[in-house]
Amino acid sequence: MTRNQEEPRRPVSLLDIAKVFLIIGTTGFGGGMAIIALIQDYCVVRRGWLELDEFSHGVAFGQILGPFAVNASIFVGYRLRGLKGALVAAVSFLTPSVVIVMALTALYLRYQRVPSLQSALSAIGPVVVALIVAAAYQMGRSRIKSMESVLLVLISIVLVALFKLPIIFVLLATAAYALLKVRFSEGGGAHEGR
Amino acid sequence: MKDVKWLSALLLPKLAWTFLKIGIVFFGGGFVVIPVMHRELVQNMHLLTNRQFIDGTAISQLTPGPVAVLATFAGYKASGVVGALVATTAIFLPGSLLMIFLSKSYAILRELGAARKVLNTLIPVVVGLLLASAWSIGRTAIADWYGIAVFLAALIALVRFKLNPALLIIVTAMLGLLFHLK
Repeated sequence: MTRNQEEPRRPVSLLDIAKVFLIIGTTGFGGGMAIIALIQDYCVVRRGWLELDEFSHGVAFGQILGPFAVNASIFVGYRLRGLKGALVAAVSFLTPSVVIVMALTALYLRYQRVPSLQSALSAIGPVVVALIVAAAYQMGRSRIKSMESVLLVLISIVLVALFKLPIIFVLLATAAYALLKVRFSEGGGAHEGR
Repeated sequence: MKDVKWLSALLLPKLAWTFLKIGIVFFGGGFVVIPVMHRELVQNMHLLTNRQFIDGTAISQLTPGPVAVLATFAGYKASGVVGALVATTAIFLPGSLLMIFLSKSYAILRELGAARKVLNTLIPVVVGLLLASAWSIGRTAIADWYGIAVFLAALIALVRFKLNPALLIIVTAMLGLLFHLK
């Protein structure tokens, strides 16, 4: 068992953690940053469970790692009550969504061939594509600036869409390339801003 | 119903394994699971049709949860509530373990610039993957000029006006229902 050496455990009960994250998981429509703002409001501002600084660091890591509302929940839960806290926070946050998806999926699988629902669904199709493109745009906006990054975008499209290379292979190859580059630039001196 | 039947004793372990694999590539923002899941579930395993994948993505966006709850949809389609729970647990497990590890040692990791640099190089590739899957999904989802118009309007609403995706999906579905636009 690892003990947290920097600060004493705050007396926050698992029940409190569960309550807060159930509320966030039920009301946090809008995804992404909207949920981070909610978590911050409940856990940092209203309850003072964490310092803003600490929370921001957790969010920063959660952000690079993927579904970052889940990761932010895990971070807060972990800082408060260790492993159990992390588990309670993540499960509480996800449960409402999972229940909603199961209910909607059951309805969907039963009624997907009803003509009027068909037309509602086919109207949604272009919106889903727009969601994906918007995600790509928001991710790339601040980070795709150099010639190299533009090339990486193009190369990965060609490898995946045209040559149907396994996605995991493309990601691993990029990671290997990036590691080499970090090594190289650290040996060669300071450059490479962002 | 002509859907592929997924009835075997090995189904649940297979589901768990598939979604664990998908869960490992969780970085650069939650949407990276879209290209990975599209490849795996639609193109490789034929668990979902392209159409169902699109509808499942829409459903996942109606919740506060991340787009990865698409795993819940796919798991439910494969084998009901149990399948949904297995798939959901599996997809979130690897990333969650990593996040727990990071939370534990975040003081050290703050200094670790190399990890961030690697992830920064990965971002353009993830963007490329997303665009590739938008293309492949779009070929089914966007059938005509009307579709292109809806796509562009939605993109502007999302990027420029930061409209809530759930709201956008609900409004579009209602319009589609009202006007029977195909």
